[in-house]
Amino acid sequence: MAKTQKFPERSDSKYVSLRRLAYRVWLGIREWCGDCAYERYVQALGARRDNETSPLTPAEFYVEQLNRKYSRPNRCC
Amino acid sequence: MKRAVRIVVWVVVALAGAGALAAIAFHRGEPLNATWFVVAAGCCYLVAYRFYSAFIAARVLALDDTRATPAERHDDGRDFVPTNKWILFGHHFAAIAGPGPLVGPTLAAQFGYLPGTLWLIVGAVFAGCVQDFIILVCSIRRDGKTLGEIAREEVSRRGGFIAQIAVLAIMVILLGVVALVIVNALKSSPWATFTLAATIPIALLLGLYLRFLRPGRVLEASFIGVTLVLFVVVAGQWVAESPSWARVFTLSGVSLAFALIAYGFAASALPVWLLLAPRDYLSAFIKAGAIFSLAAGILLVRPQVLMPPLTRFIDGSGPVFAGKIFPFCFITIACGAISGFHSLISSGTTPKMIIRESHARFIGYGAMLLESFVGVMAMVAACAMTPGVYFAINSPASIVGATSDAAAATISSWGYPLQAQTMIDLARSVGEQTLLNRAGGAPSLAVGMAQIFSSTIGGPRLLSIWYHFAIMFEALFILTVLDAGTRVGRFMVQELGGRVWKPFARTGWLPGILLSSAMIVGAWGYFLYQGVVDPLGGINSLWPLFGIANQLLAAVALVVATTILLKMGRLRWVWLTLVPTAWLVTITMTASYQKIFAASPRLGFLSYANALAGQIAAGKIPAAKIADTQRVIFNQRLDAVVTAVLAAMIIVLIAEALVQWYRILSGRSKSALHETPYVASRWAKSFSGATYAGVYTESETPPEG
Repeated sequence: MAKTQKFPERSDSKYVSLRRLAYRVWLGIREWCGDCAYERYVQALGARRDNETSPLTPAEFYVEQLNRKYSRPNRCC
Repeated sequence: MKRAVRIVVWVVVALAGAGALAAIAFHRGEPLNATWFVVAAGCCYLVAYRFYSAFIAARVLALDDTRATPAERHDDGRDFVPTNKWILFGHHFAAIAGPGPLVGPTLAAQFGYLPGTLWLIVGAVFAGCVQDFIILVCSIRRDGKTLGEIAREEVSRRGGFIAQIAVLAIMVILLGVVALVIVNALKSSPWATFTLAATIPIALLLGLYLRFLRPGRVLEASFIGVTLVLFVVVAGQWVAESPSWARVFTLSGVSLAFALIAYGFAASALPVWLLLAPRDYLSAFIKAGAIFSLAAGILLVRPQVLMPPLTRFIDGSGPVFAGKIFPFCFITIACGAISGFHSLISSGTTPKMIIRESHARFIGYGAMLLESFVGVMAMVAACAMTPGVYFAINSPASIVGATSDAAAATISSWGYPLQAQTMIDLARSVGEQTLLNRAGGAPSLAVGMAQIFSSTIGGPRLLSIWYHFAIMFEALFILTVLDAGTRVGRFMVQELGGRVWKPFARTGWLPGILLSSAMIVGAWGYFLYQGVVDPLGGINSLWPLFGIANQLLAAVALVVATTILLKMGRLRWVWLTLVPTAWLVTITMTASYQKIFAASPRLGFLSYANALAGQIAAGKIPAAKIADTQRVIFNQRLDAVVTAVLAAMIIVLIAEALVQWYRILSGRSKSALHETPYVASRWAKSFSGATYAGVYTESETPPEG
């Protein structure tokens, strides 16, 4: 009986940590491929309390970011 | 107790590495299993990372986590973005891993598996990783400045200018060579040509999706794109089997060269969001998937390495490329062991995103170790096929003949048995008309990869699909280097041109865009064209030229690093960069001299040109071919001049550096470092005592700038 009581608890915690791990991996992939670049930009603007500059729209930011990225060596031989 | 366990574990790892290396080096007779290569490389990397990189971090660079990095000080969510070290490792690795570590070791396999494998491991540990790591730290401490800017400030103005010219030269030669690799992979192959051509409309579709429908949603767009690309790999088979469609996509080398030149121009001049960026996203996912699949495949299949440790071609008579094992093995391997181009990435995006100085060890040193491991896997894939097949695929027709019978007879006479039917069957099983004379490394690597993949999934039935998947993977990410490189080259041309005429530097000015794009595409397109029409296959001349340019840039980066170490007062540890610099200068200068002046027409540019001129004078060349021969003569002389200019640049840079080092050591010049002033990190407390606790001692981390 005690065994059956303990099991769900342990597997729950395992489930939760697995979900956490999967979520972290998902966030990592999003960040690696640049999916959340706009969110990071808005966050950075907020952290700097830059009220004078109006933030770029997602489309404007996307194009501006690409233009900067591909104007310097970013892929190697 | 814990300490004792740690010591035991590291002793076991070191012994396993040494044992595996000894097995690779001294094994003779029966074929060797690929597991030895994985164990040798893996253990050497672990020991090097744990001890050598920690030593550099603590004793030489004195990494300081209390010092705010550019990402913390300038966090703007655009260029300067504090990034998790694992994510940044992924970014950095994706940026440094190009076709070089795949193609170089594949070509160097003509000397046997031993010299290339040893150089991949030793070169990476003591030269490549050290360069990437030190330049990354130097850039972090200078607000993310580029190699050219650091060279200008720390060495001399001339040093900075040389670095800039070297970057442009390597870019032009690199793009010409990688384009030639694609041409040789797609030549007379409707399946592969269709697959790669189909990635262009797919990239355009993704570009429009990401720009107008779902701005910046890279992940979902990439998922759609990768699915479509995998579909066109399969659909290529239907195209190849349809006589009318196969005719459309069966192109000669010259036609493919002009198609690539047109593509490069379009990618450079069109808006970046339309073609270049979406192709890069596709390539990044497929590259990561293919590299990890290759590693997993080698571990699962554990193929036998059929190539001998050393072949008879160490004497310089190799059919893949001419030249003795010294220096051409090192020049050919290039990026898998040390790549000058990496210093541009280490002083580009990465230093602007790093959170803590100590992460530079994992990202700078660690990512290069992984790149070297990719090179070792490419070496295994190339050496897992029978030597006869390897030489038949990689040798030009002028050496082994254009038919299966001729190639089999020639290659068998070298002591590597090959049946003509073997090549016919192999070509049929991978869905190609022929695999003979496909110099450049990509087709033989694709055969090796396909054999490993099909041993895991699908068996011989799927060999043709795996082969074309591997070709698509190689071509797709070479094309990414081609279009991204052309665009960056265009900016460099505009910047240099702007010094003469200011409006030319305006990156949004259409005539400037078109003219600079045409100039950069014309420059690499010329090298591509000369490679395609070269009777020796092009790779023989151009890959060593690329290797020399690449290693020259690495020498530039290491000279800059040595100067900075001297200015930091690390005279005791200066051998760390000085020894690899001396080695690189030795191999670069020897290779340059031999490529220009060697008496053998296959090796020396000038002797080949003179031999052809002699044939024209003696009336041995038919009248119809005289114009073509004269073009080859001109190309060989041009290659000699380019090599001489590259060699002259390194001599000038070293002279500059020696003067500077003498001044520093004799106290004649103030050895001022141009680091940004110390600013305490706000994050230092929250990060303290994490991964690297205990590595850095109190005396080694300066409390203030």
